Amino acid sequence: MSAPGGKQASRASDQGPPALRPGALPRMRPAWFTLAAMAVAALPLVLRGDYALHLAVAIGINAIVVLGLNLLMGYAGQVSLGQAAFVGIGAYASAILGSKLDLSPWLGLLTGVGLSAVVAAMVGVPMLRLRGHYLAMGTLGFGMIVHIVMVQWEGLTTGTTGISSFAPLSIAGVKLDSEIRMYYLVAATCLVGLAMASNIINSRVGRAMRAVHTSEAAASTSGVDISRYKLQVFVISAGLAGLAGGLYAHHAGYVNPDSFGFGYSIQLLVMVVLGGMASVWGAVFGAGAVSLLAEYLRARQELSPVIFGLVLMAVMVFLPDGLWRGGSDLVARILGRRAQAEGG
Amino acid sequence: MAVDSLSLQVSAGQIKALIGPNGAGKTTVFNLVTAIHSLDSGQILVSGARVSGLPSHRIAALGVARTFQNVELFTNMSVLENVMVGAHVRTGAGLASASLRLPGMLREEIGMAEKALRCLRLVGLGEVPPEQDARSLAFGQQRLLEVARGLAADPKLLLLDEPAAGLSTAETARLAELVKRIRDLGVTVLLVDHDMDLVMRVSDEVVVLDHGVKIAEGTPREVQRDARVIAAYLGESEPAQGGDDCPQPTGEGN
Repeated sequence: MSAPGGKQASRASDQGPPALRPGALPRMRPAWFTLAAMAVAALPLVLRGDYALHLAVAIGINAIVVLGLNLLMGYAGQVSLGQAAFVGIGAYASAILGSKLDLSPWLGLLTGVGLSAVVAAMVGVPMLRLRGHYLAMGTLGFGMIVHIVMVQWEGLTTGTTGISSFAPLSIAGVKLDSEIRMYYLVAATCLVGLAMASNIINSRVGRAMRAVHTSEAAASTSGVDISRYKLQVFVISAGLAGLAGGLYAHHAGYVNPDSFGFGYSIQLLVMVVLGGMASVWGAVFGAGAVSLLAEYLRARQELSPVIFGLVLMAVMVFLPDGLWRGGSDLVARILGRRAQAEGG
Repeated sequence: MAVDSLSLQVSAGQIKALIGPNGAGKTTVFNLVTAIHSLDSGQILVSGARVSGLPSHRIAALGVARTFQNVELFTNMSVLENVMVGAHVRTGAGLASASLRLPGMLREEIGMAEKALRCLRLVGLGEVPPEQDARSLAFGQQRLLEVARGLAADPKLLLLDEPAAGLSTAETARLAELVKRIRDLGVTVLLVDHDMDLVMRVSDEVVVLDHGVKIAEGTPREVQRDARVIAAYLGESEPAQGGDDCPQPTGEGN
């Protein structure tokens, strides 16, 4: 391998001209994204009535949380059994600021995101030193603490009474107080979140996070600051959860501690696992599937933990890559087998 | 104590080998240099700069790269992405430019990818499709992938931890050529291995450890003839043979 004329290509990594094929660098295909955006925009035309739209918005809000959780658990390999706490922080920030200070609802929303991120940064520094089960327990404890604060700090949160006296979001004077309007806001936010999550994954930062997941020794000796990246992804997931929380507050028009307890954290966990860790589309799919299941079980609340527990176990045992990957692998295998049979 | 009062110097541009019977402390030395273990006493300098006490990622930034005895690949990524992580320390795109996919970040990505492809070609993995899962590579190729990853960081010093373990004779010969090519490109190599053929063929100097203590240092030929080295390898179970014996690997596993 000779150096190009005149220049001293003395470094080992500068020898010879390479050929970077398109597709060598992974990224989300713009075609799929555009298709998804079009489908999302057209969906309300297909759905009948406000109930279906209400469900769609709920799915979208959950998807935003799950996108963040997926980055944390699927890609960076950390765990959070208390993600509902960050959603709650976002929701209560909007509700409290809206009802007590009469601030612009958008400011309340932004404050929720910022507050979740800041809390995650503070809690994350000591907590992310924990590994495996200990980290899981740490996040579990954190979730419980936030829930207790929501219930007990009645001066701030009105406890179990809940808050409903906050102004709705509005854009250019148009109030977002109908299902269809909230739908478009949530759908747009979700799509943007999806694009950004995918961009992060296929970047230097994303590779650093994913490297930490499989080999901390190799990652750190390659120059990755492990603590910093663990904290970054934790804060991002909290920020996304906080954003979803704010949107939740405005969608429901009412916040109350019951919505942000351990049960919701587990539902979120099932969404990530079911949809498939390490797949952004899977995250959205998981949010959809579990949200629909939760809605279906609303009439039989007592069955809910049993069913979710069973789903979680079944997925971990039979399809640990989640339904999205597992499903597409299965389809690929079936098609492969059929092609084989036809080829003779 | 895994390593006791070791004084080791590696000159720039040389290939130095660290050998010794199992348990001699060779991998421990690597782990100390890269801060996987912490130093009880003493210091480690790279090009005059003190690296002992620094965290692993800062040591990598100062130009030290390594491979691992048990191949530590990023199994959740492709061949190309694995090598690109090696270049992490030489690049700087952060969260903001990544999430928005800004043009500066894209330029850097393409630069990193091209550098990674060059490293893959250098180690002999140029024909492997770079999008392939790193997991699916043959064992010998996985070892080479680790070397490519190390080279992507433009290191001054490359630590190779048992790179020949598990390789066939032909693969080992190719590895010897690769190590020499790496040295010719200006990278200093410190190599640990049990394969005496490889060590004697590529090294400028050899250091022998036994039970954490340096027992000999010199050219490969000098070390081969050193009585203490022969004794250390043969152990107390067999009587030392008289005459010019090359120390043979005792065939123990890792």
